Amino acid sequence: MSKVTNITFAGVGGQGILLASDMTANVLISAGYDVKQSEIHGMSQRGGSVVSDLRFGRKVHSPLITEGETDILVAFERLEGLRCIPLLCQGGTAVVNDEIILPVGCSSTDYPVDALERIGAAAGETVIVDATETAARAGNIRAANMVLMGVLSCLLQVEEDFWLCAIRDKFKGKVAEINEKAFSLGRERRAAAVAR
Amino acid sequence: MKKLLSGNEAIARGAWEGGVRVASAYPGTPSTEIMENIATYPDIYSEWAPNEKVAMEVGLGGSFGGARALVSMKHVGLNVAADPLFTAAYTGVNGGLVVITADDPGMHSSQNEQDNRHYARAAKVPMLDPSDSAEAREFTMAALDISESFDTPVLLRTTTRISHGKSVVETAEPLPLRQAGFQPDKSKYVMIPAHGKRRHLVVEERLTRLAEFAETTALNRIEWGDTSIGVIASGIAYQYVKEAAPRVSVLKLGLIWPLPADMIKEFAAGVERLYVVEELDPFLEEQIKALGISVTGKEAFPATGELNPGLVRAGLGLTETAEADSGNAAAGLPMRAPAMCAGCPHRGLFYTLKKLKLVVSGDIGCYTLAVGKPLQAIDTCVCMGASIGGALGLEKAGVDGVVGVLGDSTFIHSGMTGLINMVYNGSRGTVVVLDNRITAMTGRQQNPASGKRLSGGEAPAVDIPQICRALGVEDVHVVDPYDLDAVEKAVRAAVDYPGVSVVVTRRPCLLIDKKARRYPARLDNEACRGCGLCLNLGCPAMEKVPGEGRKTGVRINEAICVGCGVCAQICPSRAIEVDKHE
Repeated sequence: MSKVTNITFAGVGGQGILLASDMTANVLISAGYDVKQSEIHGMSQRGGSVVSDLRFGRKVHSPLITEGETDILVAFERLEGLRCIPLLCQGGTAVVNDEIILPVGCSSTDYPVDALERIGAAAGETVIVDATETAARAGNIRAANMVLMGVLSCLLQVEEDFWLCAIRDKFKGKVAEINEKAFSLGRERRAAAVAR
Repeated sequence: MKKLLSGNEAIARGAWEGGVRVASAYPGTPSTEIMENIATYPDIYSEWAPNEKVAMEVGLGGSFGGARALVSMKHVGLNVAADPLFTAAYTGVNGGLVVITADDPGMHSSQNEQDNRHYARAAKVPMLDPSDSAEAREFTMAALDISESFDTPVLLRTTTRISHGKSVVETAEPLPLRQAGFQPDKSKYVMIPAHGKRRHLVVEERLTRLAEFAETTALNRIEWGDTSIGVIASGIAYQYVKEAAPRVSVLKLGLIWPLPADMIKEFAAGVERLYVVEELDPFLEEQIKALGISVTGKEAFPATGELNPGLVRAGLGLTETAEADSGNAAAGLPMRAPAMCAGCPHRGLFYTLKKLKLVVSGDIGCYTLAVGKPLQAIDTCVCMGASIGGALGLEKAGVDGVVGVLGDSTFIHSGMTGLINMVYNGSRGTVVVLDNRITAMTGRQQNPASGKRLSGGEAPAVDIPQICRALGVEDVHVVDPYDLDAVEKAVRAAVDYPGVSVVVTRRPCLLIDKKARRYPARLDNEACRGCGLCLNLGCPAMEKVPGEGRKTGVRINEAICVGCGVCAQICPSRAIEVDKHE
């Protein structure tokens, strides 16, 4: 527990990145860790790249992750995942949502078609998740972030109950059900990847 | 109770626990969430003021009236509020007054990177510099106490990483509220020269007492470690030092003005090599050097942009070489810059201004995004309200076809005085007010023209066209920015009018008016000639895809398109179809 673990959440404004990062932080606090988180609001909200750094351990000083020190990269979109590759540590894990969102003014031919391969080559382990489609199966594509959280939860040594409590704290009724379902589908997705 | 709070949430919590009763602000990244969170505590009167100067005056008045008060703003906001601040240093306070300045090193969302620590020295008031959310809460309460003990306003300075960074905060129950009430004291509160001269002596004497306090307060502390390296740091830089060099000795400053000279001398004498690690200007460095102490600062650490643990490690000489800029894997990737939303009411106006080849004197708001490709329709952007004064200056310099463009909130913040100046000085210029009924860029805050208060309660909405007429503007047009013909007609008429003209483009921001969303536009691929004109709008819903032959391929992303219909109006082939707006 003395080592600080670094998680980078990256994606496009509006994908629920900050919510996922916040929820993970709260789960880690309830599990007894010190947590710091850093993100940028403002201009970046208008469809720009969004990155949230989350660090946890016994005692955390800097809220910022230094380049080359991210243990787990959770990418909500392919290109944004690729953009964060320099952050990944040697042997780090990348969880990537298999989603393409074209930047404004970017032609589809300029979008890096090989993003997944390039992430795979740089990361120690890559988990590619069809989070949007999986969320649709859970009941709403907007729960894609919960699918990714489900995968992430398998990579952290925190009991599942803490995560479920956090989801029930955040959402109510039908929305909580959908998010919980998306979360457990994410966990299954990770289990299936390991079995293979 | 332990909570994960942003620095801004923690300041709001500290304000509540510390018994603040009056709070005022103008929104500005990264400070905005302070007042939004204060508004969630029912015992505090909180408001959005039309600008930072008014916010400061409300806070000072609240303090005179015996209430503890807080005002908050972004770094450039303090430029606007500097006038009352400098004299508030002379009057002092009654109830504690804390002034939050949220600096933005790295300019994540600002027009400059000014270092507001200089304001503490210039205004002769104390300044606190928290290093995480727990300190943001604690220092807010400490600032209120210092303010009352020393009879002075107190600046609390954050930076973006403190304002928006989140960390664990231990919260407590609020203090009992201070007894309010105004005790007239003309020699203290009426700053005529005779009184001001006497108060200046008080200010100087107070600074001496504060410097003594700086030596003993727990806000400043020495953390002895390995004495071969000693580092003086405050704020977020302190956290980077602890991360990069956990074993070195550190003098951690919480009160950064006035400085504890004796403590600095003691620390310097106890270490072999002394560094000062600070973001932006050599503020501490110059003061330390003025004490005759040799210290390494800006020759080892950059004076622009943000620091990070890697830069600190390199600057302290703890890595062989400066960390390699290993951007290779990400080099050459398409950028994802922020853009105006699909269906943003501002888009059509900028398309028209560009089409008419006008010189656009711009301002601060979402619409500044029109500077980006493909619109590139903003020619200047300096500060809040500068569009209007700037437009008049350009006109008087002999430049033709100048239009000043600013938003509703910016117009109320500091546009009206500029408009009076245009009328007064015989301008023939044109001002466009983009009235989207909200302060959008900072995250949709209410303003005097929106008809709602910070609390959400109804308020009389300022009538912008009526104000313009009252200021002496005779040619005032109000148009729907989704109607491109009407926009072009109004702008042409305004530019041709031989006096001051105002065009108000009125349509609510789509982020506050969800009902305005329509079914996505449909593109008839058969009818499309592939000219690509629609791509010139820079709409996120318009995607460029491979076309057949020499045709530019276009696809409308239905998940993003809100059916505003602006693209349909510029399509020469009439290949885009939208449902009619009522």
